[in-house]
Amino acid sequence: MFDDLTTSALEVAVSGLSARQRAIADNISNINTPDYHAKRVTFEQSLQAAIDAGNPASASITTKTSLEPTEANGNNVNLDEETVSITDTGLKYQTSVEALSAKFQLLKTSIGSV
Amino acid sequence: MPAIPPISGFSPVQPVTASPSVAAGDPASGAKFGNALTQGVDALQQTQATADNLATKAATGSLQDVTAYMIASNEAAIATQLTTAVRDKAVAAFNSIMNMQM
Amino acid sequence: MAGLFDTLGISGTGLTVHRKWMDAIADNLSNVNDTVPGDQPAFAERYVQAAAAPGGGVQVVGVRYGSSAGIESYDPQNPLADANGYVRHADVDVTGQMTQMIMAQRGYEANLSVLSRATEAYQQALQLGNK
Repeated sequence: MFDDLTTSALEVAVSGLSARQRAIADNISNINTPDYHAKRVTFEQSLQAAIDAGNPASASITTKTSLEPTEANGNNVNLDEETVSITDTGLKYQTSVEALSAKFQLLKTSIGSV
Repeated sequence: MPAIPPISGFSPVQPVTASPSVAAGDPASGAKFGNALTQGVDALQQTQATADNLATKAATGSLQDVTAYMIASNEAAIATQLTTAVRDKAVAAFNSIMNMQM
Repeated sequence: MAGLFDTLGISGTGLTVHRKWMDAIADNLSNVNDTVPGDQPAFAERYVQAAAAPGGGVQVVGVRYGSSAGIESYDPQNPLADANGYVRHADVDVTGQMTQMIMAQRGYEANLSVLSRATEAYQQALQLGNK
């Protein structure tokens, strides 16, 4: 009942986006830490491939270290980028949660307990 | 004293017969309702598929226009509510017929 | 139709360019009193060159430097003086830099406000049908 393509894909997206939010929080808190390298969470490409293969649950959420050039203190966190990213991630999270609750609401409506 | 005139203008009472308009088991009208229901369900599935497709795009981050998704999602929700209401009415009608005192 | 996520990326490029501009201004102002021996080039002001990015937004396309002529003055007592007793002071246009700083700050703020308005618009869209 809960393993349809869309619901599974949205579940992966919600996990991936919350992992990304944690990474951004980590990056911003380490904005002045010498030799700290920003973390980047990716899952969209893997999720798209998994959806195309018919099994979104097999998608993987990967955390990598940013290879962008560093400042003099060896840190490469870019506050503008992180600000945009936290906004973008927050909105995508809200959208995915909205989509998930819409899916559940449809099921509830069909069952009859609105 | 004048004689009482006979009462006229009444036709004899007709025996009760089944009305042709509500003839039981009319195959044509049954099929029409069935077709309407099937078409309704097909349209509902189509609406839900559109909303699902856009929701999957939202999951992979390739959703370009969030309003398009919200509209599709609301359409799917309302169409489902409508279909559910029609289903409930049909079941209720079936139950009243089944419970009819003969 | 361009989505709201494009808007976020575009304001992001605006933020980056204005931050780099601010960095350059800070650098120029911090070197306002640099002094070098008379036979060396003085500190040259750094200017960030911005241009529209292909596909939307803005980007830094290069850095230009002002004149390194500076202001030469005869000051044989200065330990930095060259053999002829000359030193060279940086010739930073402080007024111009302060004006640019206001512009850069305004630009940064404008991009941030686009970011928050776009966010609000998106959240409004998410409320569609939920009234």
